Amino acid sequence: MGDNRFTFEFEEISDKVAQSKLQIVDHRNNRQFETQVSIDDRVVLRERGLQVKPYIADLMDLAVSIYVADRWARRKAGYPREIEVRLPIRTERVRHNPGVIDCLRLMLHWFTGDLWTFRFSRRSRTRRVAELQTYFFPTTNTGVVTEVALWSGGLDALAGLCNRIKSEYAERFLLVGTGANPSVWGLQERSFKALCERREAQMNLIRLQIFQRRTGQLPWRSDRRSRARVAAFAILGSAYALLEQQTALAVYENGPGALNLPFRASEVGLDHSRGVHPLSLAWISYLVSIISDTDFTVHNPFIHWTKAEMCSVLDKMNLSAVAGITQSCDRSPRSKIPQCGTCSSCILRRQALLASGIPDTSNYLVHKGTDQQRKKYLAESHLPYMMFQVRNLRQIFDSESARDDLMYKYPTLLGDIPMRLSTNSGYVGSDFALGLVQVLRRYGQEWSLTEVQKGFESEYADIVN
Amino acid sequence: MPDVDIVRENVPRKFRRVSEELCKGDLSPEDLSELVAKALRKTLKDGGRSPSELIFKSLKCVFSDVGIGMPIDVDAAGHLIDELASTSLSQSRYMSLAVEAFKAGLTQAKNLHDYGVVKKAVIREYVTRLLDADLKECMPPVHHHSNALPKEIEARLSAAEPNINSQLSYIVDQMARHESVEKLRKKRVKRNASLDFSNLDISIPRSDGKDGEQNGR
Repeated sequence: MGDNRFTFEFEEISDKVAQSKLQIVDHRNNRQFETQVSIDDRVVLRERGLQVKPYIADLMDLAVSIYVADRWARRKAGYPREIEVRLPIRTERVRHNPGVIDCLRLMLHWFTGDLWTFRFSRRSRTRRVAELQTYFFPTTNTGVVTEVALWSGGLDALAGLCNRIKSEYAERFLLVGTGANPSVWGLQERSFKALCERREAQMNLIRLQIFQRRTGQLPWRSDRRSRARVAAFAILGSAYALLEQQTALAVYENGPGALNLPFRASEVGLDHSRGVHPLSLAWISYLVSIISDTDFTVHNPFIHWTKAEMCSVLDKMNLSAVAGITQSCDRSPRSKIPQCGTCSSCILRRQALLASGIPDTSNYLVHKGTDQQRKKYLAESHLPYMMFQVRNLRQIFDSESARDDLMYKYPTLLGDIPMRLSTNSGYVGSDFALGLVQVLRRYGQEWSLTEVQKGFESEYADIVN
Repeated sequence: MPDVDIVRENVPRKFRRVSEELCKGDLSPEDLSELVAKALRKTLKDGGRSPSELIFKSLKCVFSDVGIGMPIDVDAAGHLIDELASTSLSQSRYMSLAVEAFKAGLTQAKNLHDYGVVKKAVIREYVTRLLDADLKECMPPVHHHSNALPKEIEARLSAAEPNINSQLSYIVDQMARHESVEKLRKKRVKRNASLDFSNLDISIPRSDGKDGEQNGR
């Protein structure tokens, strides 16, 4: 066992980074550090004329605290962290609701595997600008079918949005991102603009940016394997949806990507992220519902689609070129070529574009990098692991009891779904799970397509040799 | 929007020798299975008591709630073990494996009413999943020690499968009996023929090279 305990004591989180301090206590080494964090929610006032209500501001503060604590609490290999968050809160419904603290504890254990505790104090009268000011002409969505969706700048977000536009699911699409760093900010901007230039639709992109200032005191780097990142973004997205008087937030992600099943038995627990897993979305829905006192849903309309099925719309809408602007890479190499081409996300992207017949105009380091880079990324390639998984899936689908076999093999990621989703968010759980089994079957079949096999053949041979 | 996935490129230290021997192919299935059992016992002990304690505690809770002749409520049991695991500070990997094994084992044995039988089914699931996670599906997917081919390794594993299964059963029995990993011991091999002591040379050679006698003072 390890003493891996951290306390994050937030002052009142402001919209100016210089005004909100955060004290981090590392109990293992008995050290204290000070840093600064803020959230810029003035954008909703400026661009949408919306005033942030106190409970929504509390939701945003919770998202910031989760994001920051998860990034800065250093991991000790193999052991969970104990993270205590102390946060000033405005509303009684959050501060004095044991259900909120309990939900946060269980939800964040699901996302990160760590032990989280929250202590809420009363926030004084200081408010952020967006809470204080009102706008003469606030925008309204009354009478307009509106969908609020997360916008990551990735291929799934683009393909999902295009599918929704094509099916005329909504008249107005309000996209929300965080622009977590300058590169992600630019990526979200570029892909959104490229889509707007080519397609007329009522769309708006809002970024609720979290700022962190390293004061130079912190002796370690932030954790890039942050597992609660998506939870924080989804909570922020939900807060924005509530501001827009909506009771749902859409997250566009393909089924196999959302399930993110382990490739082999050696990947255990949180080796694979559960960011947009259906149960993760159910947890966030539950938390936001308690805090907002509404029946709020975070849902993924494409959970029963493969990535290739999602992408095929790009060709039909003549938007294939925009796909090349998006990025999927998990490794985000610091290079002029921003995608490695060999992490699981890059491989899934390449597979989807090959299977859907869309020309892949993206550059990947494994193709366009130097010899040294190519060697490095081939050595680290996830391709053999993904092929192993595909072979396994095919074997399972060869048997008549494929559904039961899958549930047995992945009891937490698949087996728990029928019961938990039917109780948490009103889904008909077993039908939902059956849809997941079918999407995995189709995903396995896509790998047998000649185009896909050709696309990876030589690369796999290079890895083996 | 998935974040970085972690994949295991090499087997853990305790299974390294097994993995190398599997690649070399010099060992008999019996010797290989003994090596596997040894690595497994070490891993179970070093993984600590907590995963097995979690399993036993959850099983007891489940059986205390089940009426005689009633099937086990697997969903409620799954909730229970998730809740118990969410307060543990033990090694995440083995706790996760224990949770998965508990849920899968219970799904398979949900119609059984005997605590002992269900307990063994769940432990068996845990030990099997541990072996898959740390050896069978943890070896490098392409480049192997001694340039062994994946097919060769698979063949050696299948040849040793009956012996490995017998070792696993012994470990499962011990864990079930003691409800702990602390008392895991090597399986004693019964010799068929009794030893013939008449031919046994128990003299100790002298350091000067002359034939030794009993080393008396």
